[in-house]
Parts: sequence; C-alpha cells; structure tokens
Amino acid sequence: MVRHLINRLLAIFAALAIFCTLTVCPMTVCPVKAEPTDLSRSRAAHRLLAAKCFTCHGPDEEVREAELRLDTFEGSTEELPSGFAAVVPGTPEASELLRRIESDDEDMRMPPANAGEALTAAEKSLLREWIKSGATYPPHWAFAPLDTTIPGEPSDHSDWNRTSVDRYVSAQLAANGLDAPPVADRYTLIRRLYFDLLGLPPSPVAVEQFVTDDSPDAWARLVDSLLASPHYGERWGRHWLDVARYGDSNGGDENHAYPHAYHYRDYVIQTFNADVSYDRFLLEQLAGDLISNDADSEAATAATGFLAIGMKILAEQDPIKKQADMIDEQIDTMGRSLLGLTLGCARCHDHKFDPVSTEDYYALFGIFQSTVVEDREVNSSDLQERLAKYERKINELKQSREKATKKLNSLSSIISRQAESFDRGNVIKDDDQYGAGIGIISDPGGQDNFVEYDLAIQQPGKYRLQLRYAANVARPGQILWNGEIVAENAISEATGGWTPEFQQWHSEADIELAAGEHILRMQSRPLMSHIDQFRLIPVASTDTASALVARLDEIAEQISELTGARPQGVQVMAVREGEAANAKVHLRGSHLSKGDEVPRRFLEVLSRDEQIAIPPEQSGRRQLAEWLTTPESLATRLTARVMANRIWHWHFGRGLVATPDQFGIKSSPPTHPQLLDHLADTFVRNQWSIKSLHREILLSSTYRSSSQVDNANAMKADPENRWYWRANRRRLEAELIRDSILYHADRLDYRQFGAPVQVQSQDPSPDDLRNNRRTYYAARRRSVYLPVVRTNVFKFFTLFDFPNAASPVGRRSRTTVPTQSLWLMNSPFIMEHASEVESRIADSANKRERLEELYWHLFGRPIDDATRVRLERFLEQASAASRSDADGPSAWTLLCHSLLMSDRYIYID
Amino acid sequence: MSVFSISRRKMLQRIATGFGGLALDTLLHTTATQTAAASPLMPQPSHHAARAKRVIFLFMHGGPSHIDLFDPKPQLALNDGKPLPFAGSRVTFAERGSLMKSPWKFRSCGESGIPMSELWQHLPSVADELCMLHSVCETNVAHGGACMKLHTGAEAHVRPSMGSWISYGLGTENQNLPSFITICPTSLHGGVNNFGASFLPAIHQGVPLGAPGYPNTLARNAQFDSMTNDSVTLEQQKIQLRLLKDLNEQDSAPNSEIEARMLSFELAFRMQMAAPEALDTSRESAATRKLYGLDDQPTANFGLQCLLARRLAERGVRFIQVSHAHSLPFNNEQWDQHSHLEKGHTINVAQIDQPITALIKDLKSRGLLDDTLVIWGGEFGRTPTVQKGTGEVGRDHHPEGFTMWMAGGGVRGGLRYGKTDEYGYYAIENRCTIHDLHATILHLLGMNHERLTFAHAGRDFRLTDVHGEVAPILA
Repeated sequence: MVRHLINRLLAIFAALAIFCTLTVCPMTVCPVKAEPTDLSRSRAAHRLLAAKCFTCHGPDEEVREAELRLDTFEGSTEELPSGFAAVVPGTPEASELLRRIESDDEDMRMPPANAGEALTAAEKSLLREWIKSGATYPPHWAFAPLDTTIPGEPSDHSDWNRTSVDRYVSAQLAANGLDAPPVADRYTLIRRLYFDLLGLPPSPVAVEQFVTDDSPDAWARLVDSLLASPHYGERWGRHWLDVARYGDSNGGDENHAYPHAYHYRDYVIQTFNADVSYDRFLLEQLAGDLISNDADSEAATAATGFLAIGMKILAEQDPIKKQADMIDEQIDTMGRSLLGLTLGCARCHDHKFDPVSTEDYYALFGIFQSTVVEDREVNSSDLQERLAKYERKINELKQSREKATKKLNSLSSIISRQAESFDRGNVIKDDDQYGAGIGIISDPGGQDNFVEYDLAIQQPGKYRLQLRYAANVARPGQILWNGEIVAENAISEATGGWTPEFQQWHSEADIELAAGEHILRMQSRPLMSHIDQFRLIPVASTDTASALVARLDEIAEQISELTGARPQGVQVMAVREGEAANAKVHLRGSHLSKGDEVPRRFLEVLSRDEQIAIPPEQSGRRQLAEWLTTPESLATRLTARVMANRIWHWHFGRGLVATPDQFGIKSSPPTHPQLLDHLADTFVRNQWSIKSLHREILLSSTYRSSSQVDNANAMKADPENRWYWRANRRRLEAELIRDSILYHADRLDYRQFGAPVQVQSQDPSPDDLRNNRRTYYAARRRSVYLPVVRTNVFKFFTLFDFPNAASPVGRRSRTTVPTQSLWLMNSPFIMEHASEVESRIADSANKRERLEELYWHLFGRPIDDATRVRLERFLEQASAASRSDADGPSAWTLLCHSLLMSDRYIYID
Repeated sequence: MSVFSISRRKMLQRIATGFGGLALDTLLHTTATQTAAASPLMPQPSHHAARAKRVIFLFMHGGPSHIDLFDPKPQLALNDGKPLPFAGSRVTFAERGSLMKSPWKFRSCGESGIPMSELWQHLPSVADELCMLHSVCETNVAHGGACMKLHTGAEAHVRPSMGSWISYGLGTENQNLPSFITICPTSLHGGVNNFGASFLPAIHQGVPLGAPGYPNTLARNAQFDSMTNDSVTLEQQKIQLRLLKDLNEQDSAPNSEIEARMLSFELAFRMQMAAPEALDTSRESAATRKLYGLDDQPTANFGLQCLLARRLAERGVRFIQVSHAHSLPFNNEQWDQHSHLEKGHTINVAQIDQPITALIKDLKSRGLLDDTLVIWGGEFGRTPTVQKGTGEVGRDHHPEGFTMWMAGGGVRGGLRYGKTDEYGYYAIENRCTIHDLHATILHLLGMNHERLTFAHAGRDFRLTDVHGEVAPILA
C-alpha cells in the first residue's frame, strides 16, 4: 500500500512537471474588429431575406405573393407589375424593397403585421448596404467551393499551433481579441480522450502510465492506441447510429420488434473499427446489396439496414399511403443524415427556403419506390462450415440410436409385434407402397379405424408401450388397454413424411401389467398414421432395457434439439431492387392526386450538368451513392462538409456548424468556415478516412485546451465559447454514465456484437414493463448493445437525452431536469451499484487511505485536500444520520452513491 | 439554437442573482417561488387573455359510438338493414355492412336540450355545462394513427404531444409537480408517443402516473416513477445534496449548466415531498367519495382517476390526461365494440358516467370549472353501419364524423356545434378537424396556434402544422 502511494505521488509530480512544460504563455494579440466583407454581408442579407421574406417571396411558386421572388437575383431585380423593381442594384433609394421595409404605413410595411415583426434598424441597414454594394447573390456557403485559406494575418505562435487546425483557431481567437487557452493537465486529458474515443473511463494503470510518460509523442501514441481499440467502434458507431435513427422496433403506432435490426448495428461498429472509407460506407448503406459478391454479402446487405430500420406506421390501412410514408421517411433520413438538407419539406411543396423542388423530391421518390424493403437471408461466411459440423453431429446421434435400438430389440424381455399381425381390426395392410419393405397398417379411407391385439404377459411389472409410425401430418388416435383408455392423445406426432424413411419410435404410455391375457386396442378417426410395429419394454429401474430406453429418449431429445437449431443464413433487415419505375409528383403531397412523371435523378442544385445516368432497369441507389461521393463534384462538397462537421461536433460537443443535420439556408453558418473546408478537404484527400480526421483534430492544442479558464472578459465577449478560448465542460452521454458505473462496480461485460437482450416492445402490460426494467437493470453489456425499443428505451437513457429514434439526430439535446435527479437519487440501479463500488474498495481501518483509494478509482486522479476534508465530514454526518433499523446503506455506500451523482463524475473537463 | 438554450441563458442570469446566494437548507424548506424563476417550466405569458388555465382531457380509448351516445339519427332507424345510400370512405378498417339503428332511445337533457341516449344516467344533470362538438372529423381508420393524430396532430411522424406543447407555451403554476401528468395511460396505439415531447425539451413530456400499460395500471396502484427511496431517508438525502453542492462550489470556472444541475436536485427533493401529498386522497370527505363512486363498482377505478385529476388541477398542474379504460369489459376491447355493441357500451358508460359528472360538479363547486377546460372524446367514432363478419353486432372504426365535448374553461355550455349527415356518417356542417380542435384548445388557453412554434430541423414547427381554425364556441 505504502509503495503504491509513493508511486502515485511520483506520478503526480511528474504530471505537474509535464503540465508546466505544456502550458504556454497566452498570446498577445491586437484585437481586430473585422469589417464585414461583401461576401459575408451578402450571405447575411440572404439569410435575413430567407427568414423574413421567403415564406411568401421564395422558391415555392404556389404561395408566392405579388409575383415577387427574393431568392434569386433575377427575381428580385425584375420589374414588377407596379412598374418598380424590388431591388435596384447599387441604388437603395430606387429599390421598392427598402421603401416597403422602412415604411411607417401599416398597409405598406413589409413584412406585413400579421406575418411578423418589422425589421430592426440593423437589419434594414444590412439590406441597404447589400443593395448599395450590388445586391449579389453568392452561392449558399454550404454549396460553394471549398476555401481553405487561413483568415487574417498568419500568426506566429508556433508553440501553441501544433497542427493546421490550431492555425485556423488561433487566427479567429486573435481576430476576436481572445487568448489561446492553456493545455489541460494530463489527468484531465486522458479522461477526456478515453470517454471521447472509447466511451469508457481510463483505468488507474493507464492513467499512471500516461502521466509519467515524458516522451514527446506520449499523446500521439495514446491517441493511436485508443483508435486501435475494439471499443472505439462501439463509441463512434453509436454516434452514427444516432444519425441513422437506429431502432429495434418500428415505433410509431404498435411497436413491433425488429428482431434482425442488430446486424446493422454490428455492421456499423465493425465499419468504424476497420476505418472503412466514408464513401464506401455510404455506398454500402445505400446499395450494399448491389455491390457485394457472396463472400462479403452479409455485411454489405446488412448495411442497407440503413434504409430499412426507420420508424414505420405498420397498421396504416391505406397501402398506397403506407408506402409513400415509408419512402418519405427514407428520403428525409437520407437528406438530413448525409446532406444536412431537409428534403421532406418538398413532399408537399417546393422547399420554402432551400432550392429543392417537388420535382427533385419525386425524382428521389422514384429511386426508393423502385426499391423493396424486406428481411433477407444472407450467407454468413462460416455457414458451410457450421452446416457440415451440424450434419456430422446428427449422423453420430443417429448411429448411436441404431446401435441402442438393435440392442434393445435383442433383449428377450421385450414383447414386440408387427402392426399387421392384428387379431381384429378394420384397417388395411400395406407392404408395397407406404409400407414397402416393412409392412404397415393404415385406414382404407375415412372411417372409425380400430385394431386389436391379444397379448400374453409372463412377467408382471411396469411396461413402456412404444409405437413406430410415420405421418406427414398428425393423425392422432387413442390407445386402450383392456377397454380402458391409457393414452388419450396418442399417435399424435408428425414425423415429416408418410414413407418408411420417416418411420420413428414414439413412447405412448407406461402401463402396469399383471401376468395373464390382455387386449391392446388402437383407434383413430377418420384417418390413421402409418403404423409399422409396437413393443412393450419392461422399465424396472435396474433393468438393462430401461437404461436403453432412457438412452434412446435422451438421443431423441438431442436430435430434436439439434434439428431445431439447424445453422441458417443470417436474417438481416435490408432492401433489394424492385420494379424500376419513375414516380409522379404527388400534388400537395397527396397520394390520391398525381401530376407529371419525373425521371429518377438527383437534386438539380447539387448536380449542375453532372447527373449520373440511371439505367432504366435499375433503381438508381448505386448511382445515388456515387453522386454523393464523386471527388470534385458539387454534392461531394456537401457530403464531406457535413461529415467533417459531425466529427468535430462529436469531439467538442458543438459543431463548427452548430446545426449538424441542417446545412441549408436556415442553418447556423460555420464559426470557422475555412477550418471546416480544410477538414472537409483533408477528409476527401485522405481517402475519406475517419481515423485520419480524428488524428488531425486530436493532436491539436485546441483539443487539449483546459476547461478551467476563468476569464470574465472572454465570458462576456463570447459566452457560448464559439472561439474556443477554453474547453467546454460536458456532461457524459447517457450510455457513458451507465457504462462508467458498471465499470467502476466491476460489472461490465465486454462481449461484443449479437442480438440484444429481449424486452417486450409491442403492447406491454405494466408487468411487462416491470420485467423490461429488471432486464435493463440486470444487463451488463455495454450500452450500445442494449435494445433500442422505440418508445420503451431504458428509462435512464431517455431521461438523459438518448435520442428519439424517430428521425436522424446529429446533435443530442442536453437537458437538465429534476426527473434526472430523482432517478439518480432513488433508482435501485444506482443504489445497488453504489454498494458494489464500495465493495471494490479494500476495507481499511485508515479512513484517509480508503478515501484516497476510492477517489483514484472513480476519478482517475489523486484526491485534493479540500475534497478529502469534505468527504471525511460527509462520512461523519452520514454515520450520525444512519437509520435506526440498521438496514439502510452504510455511510460509505452513501458516499459512493453521492460521488456517482456528482458533477465531477457525470461531467468531463 | 433552440428557444430552450435562450431561456437557459436567462436562467443563468437569475441564478447569478438568486440561487447562488441562498443556503441549501433555506431552499429545501421554502416554497418554489425563488427557484421557480429559473425553471423552464415557470409560467409564461399567454398571447391573449386566457379563458382556461388548465386542461383535463378525458380520453376514451377505442372509439365511443357517437350515434349511440350523443348524436341521434332517426334516419338510421327508418333504414335499418338497408345499404348505405351513398359512397362511404375509400379506406375502411373492416368490411362495411348495412345500416344499423341504435339500440338505445334518446332524450333531450337540460334546458339546452342536448340529446343523450338512455345509457347516460348522471351526465344529463350537467348537460347545460357541455359544449358538444358533433362534427369532429379525420381520415385515419386505425387506432395507432388516429390516436397519434389526436394527441400530437401527426399520424405518420413522432411529434410533440398537445400537453407538451401547452407546457412549453405556458409553463406551469406549481414548480413542485410536473406540468403535464397522464393518469394511467395506455401503452397501445402510439403508447408513450401520445404524451411524448419529441423535439421539444424533455421537461415538457407527460409524466405518467402509473406505468403505461395494456391493461392500464389500476388507479389505486398508480405511482410516479423514482419518487421514493426505500433505503435512503430524507435526512440522509439532505446530507448527500449538501455534499454535491459543496463539491460543485469547489470547482472554479462558472458553468451555467452545472449551476442548473444543482438546482434540479433541489427541485427533485421538493417534488418528492409534494407528490405524495397530491396523491393522498385519504382526507377527502365521505361526500366526495360518494360523489365519484369510489366505493362502488363499476365506478371505483375511473372515479379515483377523476378525483386525482381534480387534485392535480387544484395544485396547478397545467395539463392532465385521464385515460379510460382499464377494466377490459370483455375481449380487451375498451370502447372498441366491433361486436357486442350493446354489452360493451353499457359497461363502458357505467364506468365513467358518474365519475365524469362528479368531476364537473366538483370542479364547479370549488370554483375551478371556470378556468379548467374539460375535454371528453376518443380517437374516432363508430360506423352507422354494422361491421361484417362478427358474430354479435357491432360497429367499425369511424373517423369521418364523430362527437367530442368540452366543459368549463370558457366554452359555451349547452351549445351544439357542427353536424353530421342524417346517417351520422360525414361531418357536414362546421367541420372540426383535429387541427381545428387543437387550435381551439390553444385559443382557450390564451395561445395563438400559429405563434406557438418551435424551431427544429430548419423550420418552425406547430402543433397544428399548417392548418387549424379556432371553432367559435366561446361563452
């Protein structure tokens, strides 16, 4: 223990020393108040027009007022019926638009009173300046060519600027008069990186190793080792599953289970671990079924689960509407997740803000209408091997059965008769067709069949009556012994066929027999199975016969068990090509009134003349994926920007574009446009490698910033921390809190992949819900493997902002509400795990040592004096307040419980 | 950024002047007023003067038959057994049979003469409080889509429920209780989607009193989740919260989210004390127990649900839903009488008739009816035609025209608004879609349905989407 402590102290000193060398002096910069450029002013004007005017004067022709559109240069400068033009470039005074927005006359003023507030002075001035400088309409930033120039004067802060990311960030910090932040200490850094890349806390050993590693590439090596961990895919795959609105049930109305959905989840985790290029990832998700050969068909077909796992209203009674709703869900998901565009709007009308027309929508609609969603069986790579193993095992069992049967039949104590040798009966004997080679009895057609045998028993005792028969469908009957029924539902199995190879032995009844004459009767109505023979086996316990019977029963059971588990191909939720056909525009979104047919193609605004041709016999999914990722194309700019921004968002908790699923006109424009373009550019040039992009970001000083910067001026100038003057303190996501608690309670099960635990999804009763809760509480695997039963996700997850899997979620909300606190304070889950955590900390008479141990265990850093004093006081208070019945939790358990709820545990610095 | 984050910034300013300086023990013992100001649930100003301050929605799951309860159709009796004389709707749930008259007689009730079938024994005594909406109309013939439409305004997407929108728009008057409580909800037909917040901040989601289920939880077993702790005493919890607060203060850099988190622990602690008090009916008078039928069958269960609703309304909860039915008369059908219409509707009415009448009377005698909007209705009505293929006669789902009613909260009692045709098939006069219904409810609460918006996925969403007109039913 003492030695352990000394090591730890050494580690602390080492960490402090490194901290000092890593800390840099704040940059001194001259604050530059940047004048808006023409470009940025034009964009701001465009955004303002979109927000205030496009509803009536935008791309949607049907609701356009006064024949005026303000979303294009041609539209805004055109002469109106009144003889004026809304915008006269260079001449604000002559522009009707300005006259109207500045008017005091209620009837003249735009926007009209019933549509919204008048523009502010600043907004009016913006439009005036914009018109004055020529009223240009630059392309929307998200559609514009990549621009990777570093803004402002190049700053020489080589000690802070480690990677190109830093150069963009420090330039913006300087422009805004802010200091670059110091680097965080190593305890903080390793905890941050572990949760970020793996979703797990670092082990105390890993922490000690890192804080004492004084080599210059310690951080880079840590980054590489975590990127190589199999847990990386579980963390980053889950991010993608948010975007792919992954769920294990249909949600919506009746919530049927999706038992095969998890193959998509596993595919995503494996794909992230393998750093499959992002363009390939998209191709597989949209068209994996079309590109695969047999060898890898499981993964690639499972990938198309992306199109199949969405929320559906399965009880919709109108099949046409049902299909249209499902396709809408696919288009909406594809648009938001891959392009950051809300294409769903164009189902009913041209998009109000973005240049997406209903024709665009129904062009895509045709692609998905030519695609069928279904569960597909695919060959897993080891299917043949598993089948061979299965056959071997079955044959072995059959041989054992034959051997045991032979032995049994040779025993003298057995009484056996051929069925045809009956003494009385009205059935037919057949030895050339169904009884070829063996001889059987059966019915002559529908009737009351019966057959009787006179039997003489020498040895009294208990006998088992067995019948050998074949039946393709069950034809049950009764068995009577001396006129009394001994088996009511006898001869009742279906054996798989009528012919001799399907003949099987079945035990029908155990009968106590006295010595003497007996009558066995079998009867059935109207038809009869094909009975070959019967036998009576004495089953006294010491007998060889009874042992053989037991052995045969056992073999029969094994065979039936094995047959039930015959290896099969894997069932996955997927799509396949359907009948390829174009769709007609649905007028106002109604599937009942249709307009013109639109050829299958991609969004015009993102294609110029670069449409990839879709062959008439194909749906076009494959071409859709190619269109999204062809280098240098318009669409690819957007694809790359959207994903680069997502990755930044998941690292920092806020994207360079704060609306990761929304890159249209109404998006929040990027804080660092050139940095975003730099990342997008690097991403494509590095063959769309996501792990390379991680390195680009993680090795920067920006990522390594401290969150403990208390700078009143910066707080005032930039309260949202848009310029990265410190790191954001962030709450762990729901899954991370759970995994972390399981980890510290030493209960985490690291097994990867496979079906989730079963919970009742459809129409659960209160009892079902209680069982579900128990199942969730008892589960120990990582959170990504828990079922995402839409509408009945683990309560703890929904409380802590796990996304509603009804649509793509690139940015989880982060709420702070009392119901979270209630759960943390009261749920049996956390109480139980608090007590487990306590039991992991070696019992020690020395309270101080035990506290140090506990703190290291939970927080991966040494306890500071102030905290220790406070925790000691807690232990005293809690002991004094312990329950009189002595049943309650100990003071230590209460302490563990409190620490699991604490900010320091739930947040990362 | 969402509206929520703006209010969080406001919250920070308030915390800076209020919460930070207060001692924990004071907080634990004061009323909510100081901290309420910092909550996203604090009361919000309405758009215009509100007629109703809160809503009690009596949800009749399964689809009660308008033509057997409130909307008499003499033509049905005259043409009993004949085919529907015009084209019915294109999509039906089951195969359409011939016209079927109601097995029940109707009479005019109250001074206003509102017709009610003889099934109703108690409700006629409050007939003049009711504002009948005879022309509610929709298109979805399946329970799931229709329930989601009724509760959220959308049938094919998961969208915020009306209670969540109302909580988001108005906040709530009692910070120690949730703003939106749903008593014994069903897990069927949209389940939690029907009281979910979807993209609205999660704080506005309906909190179930009693786990959602099929069958619904019994009222006497209904509890809030995670409100009690069997092993940790309140005294110990106070010690825990003090520790959390002290550790929080040791960490230097200010962070609004973490300040808000401390606050949420205080609120949680107070909720633990407020909730049991709100649910404790043991001190209700014998007269009240009798009024609601708490000691009789078949009224005990729904009676207790209604009484709990009144207690929550008294305590300032903004939106309260009460879901019928638990007791599964037979075949687990609730109001869904595809067969056995007579037996099923007789049992269902007997379970709710006295309790809902009691609720209206009780609210009135306490002066609460004026500003409490009571709404009664199911996800659709039932067909004037018999459903084919069932042994005992029943009626199919029917969204094209059916009856709901409101009481209190500024609506005109005794009014009959809208009409169905002479067979009770299509709504033909003053048609009132679910969007119109929602617009009307919001209007009564002082909100303009076109201005109650939330920015999500690039546009402003509304409960009423791009539709909705306020029905002129105000007192």
